[in-house]
Amino acid sequence: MEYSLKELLVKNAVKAKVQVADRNEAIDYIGNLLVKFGSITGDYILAMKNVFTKLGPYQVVVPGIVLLHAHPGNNVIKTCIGFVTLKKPIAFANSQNDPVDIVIALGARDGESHIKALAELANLLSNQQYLTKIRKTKSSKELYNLIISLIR
Amino acid sequence: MRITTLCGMGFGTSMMLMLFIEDILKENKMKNVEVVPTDLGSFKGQEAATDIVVAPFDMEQHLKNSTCVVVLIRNLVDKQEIREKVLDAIEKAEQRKGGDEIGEEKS
Repeated sequence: MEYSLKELLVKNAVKAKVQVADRNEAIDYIGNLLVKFGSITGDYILAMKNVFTKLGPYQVVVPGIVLLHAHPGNNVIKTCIGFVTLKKPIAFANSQNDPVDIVIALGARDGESHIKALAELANLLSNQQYLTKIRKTKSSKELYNLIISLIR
Repeated sequence: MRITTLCGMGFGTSMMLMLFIEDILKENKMKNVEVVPTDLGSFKGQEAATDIVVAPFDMEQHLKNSTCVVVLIRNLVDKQEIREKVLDAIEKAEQRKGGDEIGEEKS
């Protein structure tokens, strides 16, 4: 079963213009949204943080955008995606793409069912006009509706 | 020829890279190049069978002593950057193989 981005995007984990102080707070914020709505366990938040300490800040894969994720498995209750824009960009210590103002978190139960959603996400993130619209949006509800409308 | 796309877990970043590279190979009608996403832990065991490794820029520290042609990508959704760097790497990898046709087994 392959999920689309629309299916995986957790409405209550889409937030606009959030204020966080640093990388850990950003991971906690989006992680707790996904915990609250039953998509991941608290251990997955810790696992996402450990990726940075163990492997470095490579997950800032697009200028200004981090794609957080840890190993697929039991810490993920439902395959899910959260999407948060930040009021003030913060440093993730990436050598190329800092500072970050869009934080995306992916939780996958297995290694494959999210590929379609990932392709749709890549398509969305490669469009500068879409990103400008996303960055301008101030309300969370509007941000969710905007993202859904931009999925191709 | 084998291209390995690499990330920490082998299912997020590396999958995204794989999708773009497969498109690029199709555009250029390169049929004998396979793209395999993998994680850093498993990569060590696959390195000898891999010609080119493509990874996000900040994985550089993990690839310093790699025997493969190393491609580091700054913007993972910039198809132009990926296209230029990957096609260049395929050329380099072919030269390394001593001008063998793409897809021929290593002797």
